[in-house]
This record gives sequence, C-alpha cells and structure tokens, in this order.
Amino acid sequence: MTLRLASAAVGLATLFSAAPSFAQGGVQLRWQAPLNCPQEAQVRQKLRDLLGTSASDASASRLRAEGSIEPVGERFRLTLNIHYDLVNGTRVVQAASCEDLGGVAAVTLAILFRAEHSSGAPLTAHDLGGASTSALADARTAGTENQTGDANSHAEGSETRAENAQKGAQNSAQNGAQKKTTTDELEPKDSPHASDASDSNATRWHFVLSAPELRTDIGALPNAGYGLGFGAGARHDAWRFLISGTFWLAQEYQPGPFVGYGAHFGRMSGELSGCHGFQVAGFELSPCLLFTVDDVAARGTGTGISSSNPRTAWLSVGAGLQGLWSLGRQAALVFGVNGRVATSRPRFVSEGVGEISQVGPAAVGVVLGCEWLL
Amino acid sequence: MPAGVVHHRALAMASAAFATACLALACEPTVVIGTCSQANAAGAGGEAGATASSNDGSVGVPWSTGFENGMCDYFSQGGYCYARHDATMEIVRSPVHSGQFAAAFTVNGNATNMTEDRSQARCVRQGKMPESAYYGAWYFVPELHTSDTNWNLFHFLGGVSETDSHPLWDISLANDSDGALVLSVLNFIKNTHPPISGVPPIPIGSWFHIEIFLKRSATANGEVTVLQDGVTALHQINLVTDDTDWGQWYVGNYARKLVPALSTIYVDDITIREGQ
Repeated sequence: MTLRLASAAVGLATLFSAAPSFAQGGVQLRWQAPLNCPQEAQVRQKLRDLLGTSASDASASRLRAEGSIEPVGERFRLTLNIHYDLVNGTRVVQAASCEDLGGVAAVTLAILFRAEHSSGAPLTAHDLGGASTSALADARTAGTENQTGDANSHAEGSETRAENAQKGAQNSAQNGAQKKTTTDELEPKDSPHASDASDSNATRWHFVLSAPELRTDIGALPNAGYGLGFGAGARHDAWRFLISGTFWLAQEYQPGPFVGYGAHFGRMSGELSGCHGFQVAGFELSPCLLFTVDDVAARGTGTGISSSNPRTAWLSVGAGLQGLWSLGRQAALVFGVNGRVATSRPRFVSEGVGEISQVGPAAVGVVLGCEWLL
Repeated sequence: MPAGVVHHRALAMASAAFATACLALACEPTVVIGTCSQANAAGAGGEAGATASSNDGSVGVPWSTGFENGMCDYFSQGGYCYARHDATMEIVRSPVHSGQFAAAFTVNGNATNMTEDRSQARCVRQGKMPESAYYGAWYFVPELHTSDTNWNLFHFLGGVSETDSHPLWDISLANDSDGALVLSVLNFIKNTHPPISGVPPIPIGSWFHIEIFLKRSATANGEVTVLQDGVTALHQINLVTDDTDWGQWYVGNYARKLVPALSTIYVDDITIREGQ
C-alpha cells in the first residue's frame, strides 16, 4: 500500500517535470485556511512552481476551485471543490499537518490544468473527482475511511501521500530530466495524459475512431434509410477530420399505381467530414462540413421484369452539427444532424413501368455513435 | 505565388464550378434498373404473348397476352398500361383464366361529371390496326355494381395520334331493368347504342369472354360483331366502322359512377386474331 501510494505520488509529480510550455494563471482559486496553515498566496506559488516559470502568463483555463482547510480533532481536512464549466467535483484529504494539504491542493489543480491542455476533450466529473489521479483519489478514500475507523493508520497513510505528492511535485519542478525517467517507468504508455509536454505537437494530434455509428436519413432514396457505419480520422486541438463508411439496410419501394412493380435498393455511402469543436458546458458542439458519396445498386422488381442490378453513385455536399458528450478521457457519445444537397439526381427507371424513383435534391440525416480518442 | 498553390486553387475552382454547373443543370442521369424479360415469358407456361412483330407501326396479328410476362407484352409492342385517378393495376395469381397470372384493374367510381377525373386502369395496343380482326379478352367481375352506364371494358379510338383522335366503339357494362349487368355497345361514329340481344347478363364471380369483330371501313362497307362467350350479341354490316388509319384498343376498367364505388375487374388472355 505504501509503495503504491508513493509510486502514485511520484508519478503525479513527474507529470510536471517537463511542462514548461504550459502556462498557469487561468485557474481561479478561492482559499480559506487557519492562520497556521498555507494561505492562498502560498498555494498559488506552489501551483506556479509546478507548472513552470511562465505561470503568470494567463493561459486560458476554465478551472475554478474553492479550497478550505479545517481542523478535525487533532488533524486537518482539506476540502477542494473543483469546477470546470458546469462540471463539478470534490476532493477531501485529511492529514496530521495542514502544511501538506496546501501542496496537495496545488498538485491537484496542476494535474487538472495539464489535463485540460493536453487534449481536446473536455474534463469530466470523473476527472474532477479524482479517479484519474490515483494518488489523490486514494488520499480522498483514505480520508473517508478515516471517519469510519482505524483512524491512525489511514491518517498516517494520507499524510505520507500528501508529503510524497508535495515533495515529488517540488522535485519535479527542480529536476525535470531526472523525473522524466521516472515518468516513463510509472505512467501507462497508452495514457494521453502521461504524454510528455515537451512533445506538445504530438500530443495535439490524436487518432480518432468513430464506431459504431447508427445513422438514419431521408431524401436520398424514396424510403427512410437506416445504416450502420464506422469511421476513422484525426483530432488536432478543436479540429476533427473523419472519413467514414456506412452500410444501409436494403429497401423495397413500390411507387404505384402499378402494384407489385418497384425497385430494390442497396446502398453504401462514404463521408468525409471536417469539424471544429466548441466547448459548451460539458459538451463539445462541432459544426461540420460534409462531402458524401452515395453508391446505390438498384434492381427493378415486378412480374416479367429482369435487372442487371446496375450501380450508380453521386456526390452530395452539406453541413452538420455534432454534439460530443464526453464519457471519459477517451470516449465520447456523438449525436449529430446534417443536411446535404445532391450534385446529381439519378432517375431509376424500369422499362414499361416508368420512373420508379429519383434521388431527392436534398437529404437530412441523424447520426448517433461513439467516438474513441486513441 | 507558388505554382502549386495556383494549381490547387484552380483545381478547387474547377471542382466547385463543376458541382455548381451540375446543380444548375440539374444532373439527372437515367438509370435503367429493369427491363422486360422475354426469356421469362417463354418459360411462363407458354401463356405469354405470341407476337407478330411489325416495324411499320402496325398492330401485329395474331397477338395475345395472359400477363404471364407482366405488362411486358404490351410494352414490347409499343403499347402501354396506365392507371390514374385512384386506380391501380396489379398482376395477380388469383383468379386466373389460364396460366399463372391475370391482371386486376381497380377503379374508384366516385367521379364528378368531369371527364378528366374518371378513374381508369387500362392497357393499350396502338398503331395501324388490322383491316379486319377479332379483339377478345376474358373478364371476371367479382360483384355486382350499379353503373351510370359508362362502365367501360373495351374502347376503340382512332385518329392520327393519341392527341389527335376520336372515339370509335365502346363495349361497356350497364344494368338492365332487373339490376343485372349486361353488355352495352356504343357506336361513336353514329352516336347510337345498337341493341344487344341473344345473350344473358354477364356472370358475377366467373370468367366470361367478350370478343368484337371489326372490319374497318371508312365507307359503308364495314362490319361489326360482338360475341359474349362465343354467342353473337350484335351483328351489323355495311356501316362505317373506322374512319381513321391509326387507332388504339383499350382493355381494362374505366368508370364514372359506381355503387359501390370501388371496383376490381380481372382480365386474362387478351387476343387479337385475324378475321375472315
């Protein structure tokens, strides 16, 4: 347990060992503590120390926090309420000395600041609550456990963690190169949050997988279409570029007045989209530009009618709006609506029966899916 | 400005121009997704149309269709089928007179007195009609209706083209004094209803055969004979029967006022055969 806590604290601290490219200054902090405890100015200074020399350069941050330290018997409890737009989280840490708790608060905010700027995805309540920062989460758990019994042992544990976190953070600010080695050893390689800030360009590009995508649209074929798709692409800061493909359910259509005569449509489509995201509360709203190619194989149906099942394709251009609801650091639920205009409107004609259907001038669609940030 | 930039801009402009032009010109390519399958006809119980092809626009004789090939026996000979004003046409497996299929023509006899909105579903052969020929079809009327006398089964029309033509002969259904349905013939040229005699009312719920022999003549040398189930119901000679060189023969269901309004008539084994 002690080893785990110590490792986590060191890991957290090493996160900041190579973070000079990110400036602080955007975290709004309100602080309240007994006079013998660290005051707001000290916590802010620790935060600047952790994030680098350019802390006074206000890098945009939507993080806000209210921290308070209060005595609990002979011990001290830190309650840190953290807000990210409309997303809230609370961390509670207890320690024998309130000196350590100021460092815990600074480390916590520094981690979240880093996370906010290392990925285009918004922070979640899960992040704010501490699940992604294991050392502090453990510390919070320890604090909770402290109230249920075995007070001494847990209090000592949280004290140790707080000390380690603080010391680790301080050390990382002084000796980034040395701690980077430690980071490589302790942080998971596939964690986007563990990436080295000195390689900031690399961290801004993320591979994006969009699967599955449930789609429906009207206007392309005579009946509403229902499809299953997947896509892949890249995200760069607020920009997302995806190429996706959709397999649509085949549909039968009879236009009348000749009952029993119609067409069978099979359809696939490909879409190239470019979107730019804007953070709105806990969501990301993304206007998108779309280029869609529909490929349809149509077969005339009816007594005496034969068909070679010819294919035809057409290009549509359009726009859409997508909303991404983060399900964590690496997943998001996507809901989108789009409209597009066909640059070509093929007529599907069956000999004798006449025109069965024609591609509509415009189509509107809805997509619901999951997006994975890899 | 670098050449590459110019090249990309030109490409983008060309693409945009193409897309815009496409939209402006309303690109509407025709994709033929179905064709009439004559091979199917041959394999459909031998009931499909035996066709005497003609390249001069005349109606080939003999000709027949049992709808085993759907509507294709009409389309392959320059004819067509249509349905409008709440009417539909369907190829059905029951009832059939022979083979596997027949045609069901459904109309909604609730029209006003406007000619344009009369419900009708029919198939048409057209072209230079034979000098003399028998035109026949098997009909199945499943229920009794009350008609305003314009419930048409056969319609002959002549002229130069479809848009420059006039009616010649009708065979329709009308209610007799007992309410039963009997054949009714209308000679448009003389605007008379020559009397039908010697045949009973048509059967309800079973197949019956209607055939008309027309010896076309623009002078008083023509001849017309109407037969119901092979029994002569009308025979007239030495009269003007067709004062045109081009004509159409409509078979199906056409109604103005019916009670009940919805009527489905089944038709099978339509023939044109040579006359004497």
